[in-house]
Amino acid sequence: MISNNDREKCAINNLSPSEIYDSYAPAVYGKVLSIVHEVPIAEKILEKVFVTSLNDQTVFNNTLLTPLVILLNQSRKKSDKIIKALNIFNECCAGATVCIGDKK
Amino acid sequence: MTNVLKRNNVTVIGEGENVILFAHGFGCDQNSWKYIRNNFTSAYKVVLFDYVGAGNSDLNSYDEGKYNSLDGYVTDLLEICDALALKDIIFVGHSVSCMIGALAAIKQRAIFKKLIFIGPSPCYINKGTYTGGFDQETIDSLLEVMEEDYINWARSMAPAIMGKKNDPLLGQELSDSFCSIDPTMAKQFARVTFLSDNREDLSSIPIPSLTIQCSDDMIAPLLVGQYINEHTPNNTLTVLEAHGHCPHMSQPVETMAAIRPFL
Repeated sequence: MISNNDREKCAINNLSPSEIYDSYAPAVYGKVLSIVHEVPIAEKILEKVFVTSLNDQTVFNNTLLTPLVILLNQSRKKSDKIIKALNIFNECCAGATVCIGDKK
Repeated sequence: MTNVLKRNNVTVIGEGENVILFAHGFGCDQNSWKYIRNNFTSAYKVVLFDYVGAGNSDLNSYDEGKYNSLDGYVTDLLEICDALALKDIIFVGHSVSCMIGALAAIKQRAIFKKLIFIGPSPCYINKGTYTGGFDQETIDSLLEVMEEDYINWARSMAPAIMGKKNDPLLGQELSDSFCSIDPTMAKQFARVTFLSDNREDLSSIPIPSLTIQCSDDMIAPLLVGQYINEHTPNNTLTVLEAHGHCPHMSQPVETMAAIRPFL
């Protein structure tokens, strides 16, 4: 008997990167946005999660989790890291702003 | 020849003969001292400056090679003292500036009379039995975030998401922008700051020093202040009730009360 997990894993192997993105990005984006609450940050995290995952197919080798759950876990970890890093930055730079004319 | 005073946007105020030099930390500029500097101007000559890449420093003076370690900043500090013919000064440093001041005092003892460290850390990363407060992965994340639009991101995050403990009104005051940093140069400064390890230099600090430590500082935890106190000759540790990493901005009265007995 083939489990739903296995079916989903078989399916993801037959999808192109853009199809994987189209299938899972909305749910992953929703998860990220629920954590960071800011669209620009959520978009960047979404991009990084997918670039990392699509460049390393072993990410989906976990036999117990569906690809969606794996991506959601990765997005949560990434979001938490970003928040922690921004917290450090904010703590150091209580009053800092970007120099006029020197924005990236 | 480099105009040191212009390069580092040096400001000199106050009337006294004795000199207090204030050195800002990573992500700040000399405006970060605005809540306490005027309290010293009646009795001291107060010197303030911006590191290259911060405030109104001369950004054209930025040299990636020079500022690839704290030594570049130490050199600038010593050049400022030389340009103003300063000696026997009281150095007040915040955050990474504490170690810059310490290294400068080790290099040129005669310039410095006392060192005051606010939120110092000789090493931010946990190593062996040493607790610096961060693991390598967290610092790597910080440096990775700094590749993005990190300043505006940090500003946009709601305090609740950031896990802020401070009074919301205080948080709002602190988030008002009054310092400026160049994002590209700040990235290298962050790398140099958070990857530095000056623990072995502590025992060489040749003059009395005061460590002012906040009771709850995520950047420099209490254990770090205690480590500095235990490993630095003639060091006094004062723990403030203030939270956070910038007590001179968040709790200037308590910070000044800690500084004054040491002067």
